Amino acid sequence: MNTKQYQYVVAVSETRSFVKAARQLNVAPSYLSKQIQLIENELGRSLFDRSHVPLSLSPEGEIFAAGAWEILNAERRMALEMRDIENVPGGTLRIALSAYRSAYMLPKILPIFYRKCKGVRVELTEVPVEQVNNLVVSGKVDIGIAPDSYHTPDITRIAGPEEEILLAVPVSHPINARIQAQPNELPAISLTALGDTPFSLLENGTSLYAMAMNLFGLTGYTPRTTIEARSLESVYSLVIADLCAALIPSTMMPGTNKPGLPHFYRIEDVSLKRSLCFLYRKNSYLSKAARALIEIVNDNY
Amino acid sequence: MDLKHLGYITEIANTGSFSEAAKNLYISQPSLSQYVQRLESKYGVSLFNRTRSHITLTDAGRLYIRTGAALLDMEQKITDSVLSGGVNDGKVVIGISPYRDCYILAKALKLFDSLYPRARIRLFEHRNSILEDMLTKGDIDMMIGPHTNDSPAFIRTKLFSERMLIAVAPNYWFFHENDVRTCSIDGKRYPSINLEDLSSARFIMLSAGTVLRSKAEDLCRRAGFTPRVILESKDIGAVHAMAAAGIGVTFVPESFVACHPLKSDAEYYLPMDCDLDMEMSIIRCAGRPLPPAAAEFARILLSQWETGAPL
Repeated sequence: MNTKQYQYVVAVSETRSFVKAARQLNVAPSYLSKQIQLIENELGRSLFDRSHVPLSLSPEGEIFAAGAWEILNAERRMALEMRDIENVPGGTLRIALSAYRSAYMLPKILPIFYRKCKGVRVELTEVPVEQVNNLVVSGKVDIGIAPDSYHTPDITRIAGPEEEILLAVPVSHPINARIQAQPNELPAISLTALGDTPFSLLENGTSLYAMAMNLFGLTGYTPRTTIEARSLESVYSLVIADLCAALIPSTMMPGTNKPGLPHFYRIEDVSLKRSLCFLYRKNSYLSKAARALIEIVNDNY
Repeated sequence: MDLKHLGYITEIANTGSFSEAAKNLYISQPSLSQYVQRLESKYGVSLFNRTRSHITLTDAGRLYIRTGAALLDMEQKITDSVLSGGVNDGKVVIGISPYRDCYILAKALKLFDSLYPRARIRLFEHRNSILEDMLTKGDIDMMIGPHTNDSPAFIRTKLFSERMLIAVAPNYWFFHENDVRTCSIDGKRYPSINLEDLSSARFIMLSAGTVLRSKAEDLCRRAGFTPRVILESKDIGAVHAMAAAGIGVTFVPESFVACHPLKSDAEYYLPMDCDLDMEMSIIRCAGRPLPPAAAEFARILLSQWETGAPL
């Protein structure tokens, strides 16, 4: 068979719909349905139960789709490896990471990456951290970037940079005037120095929320939390808007202290860090481009 | 990747020439060249080093052929697996009493494994009441156990029936008759005794709530007495060992004796005039068909017990 045919089966099994799968594959639904029928005829078994919507896989279909998926992965692996063997520039690198890392980390990384890996197309999938692992396991991306805490056994991890969690204080806060800026080091302040300043937290269930709770317990001081937000970017934009203080990972800190931006502080006597790691599927091939990306991130953070 | 035409690439590699390969493959040379060019542009690499005199595979070309061969293998496996109805990649989840798996399942497991090496089997060992719950919830495909209730929610297929034996230490004092009876399971013969004679004996029993315990109590009740239980344990191996050590007498199913893995000094007697056989069956949920692998395992297990002594 042609591996295209396996792609058809996988697409239908994932979308549970011929119409959706056809759209995804960029072919006509009638053509897709005919191709699937050809495979079913060749096997003498039906792979899909079309009697209801959404359609479901027959037991044979489940087996076939799982095998098809393995084949497609093996082919993708070969394609990556062939380019690397022959030193051909280009190819694609698919990365899954959380939205704020994409927005704040990659602008610094990608220009260096593109200089080193000419012609490589980068495809970013921004998802909540919990989904990074799944995307990597399912082969939808080549590499994932996530905190070190979350991964399943079918994943190989490479250590990434450490992310420090900092206190971002709105620009108009009086404490900013009192603290002397040091040339190469972030000043540390006590959490209590915030006083009655409103505080914004990432919503419950996130690792940053857990770290914050831990910190409040440790310092015995809980800021007046006025806003819980869903994404770190909205938390940060509230700080930028001079509304509140928040805990912000160092990744989001701007490189230079531009006027009008929040001030960043370490928290006195507490080391608040989490390490990132790069995830890829066990036994899959890590392309030169992927390895270059890892190296660049680790060199720059 | 076009697995159907992997042979095109190997033929070019083997002959070292497009024209010769085309001739051997009964296609025109331009269409063969075009085919290769299409592949090369798809992957963005050259599969062949082209010199005027000779054509050789590049490293990428070698990888292409190697991967292609592996994928053909995978393809064959997938087809086999689909055609075997999923047995070979299936999973069988069986519930069984803790001590029973070794003698009821061992042979069938071995045969099943040799026929379907990629299938997986998971055993859950619990007492029957727990297994019945698991079966109802769908946590297990089937259970193997005694016939204890007639609930229409379960479908039973009989494997075999067995007797309960009395196990005692070798020097345990007994009235027994010289009437020797043959057991049903492995053809072993045991002297028979009258259970009434044990009315004042000290009994070791499995914990309450187990099928074997209620079976044993039933037997005593029929013989006209309530057993004096001096020791209870959850583990039939322990119960048996205590009896062998002379602490008391106990009941064990004959299949346990037949395949007891440890050398033991215990002696066994068959209670006379008791028709309380235990019927061991494959039990599954009515209305929930067995998955292909589980159905195939059940078939093998049944045929083993039908065609003769599986021990």
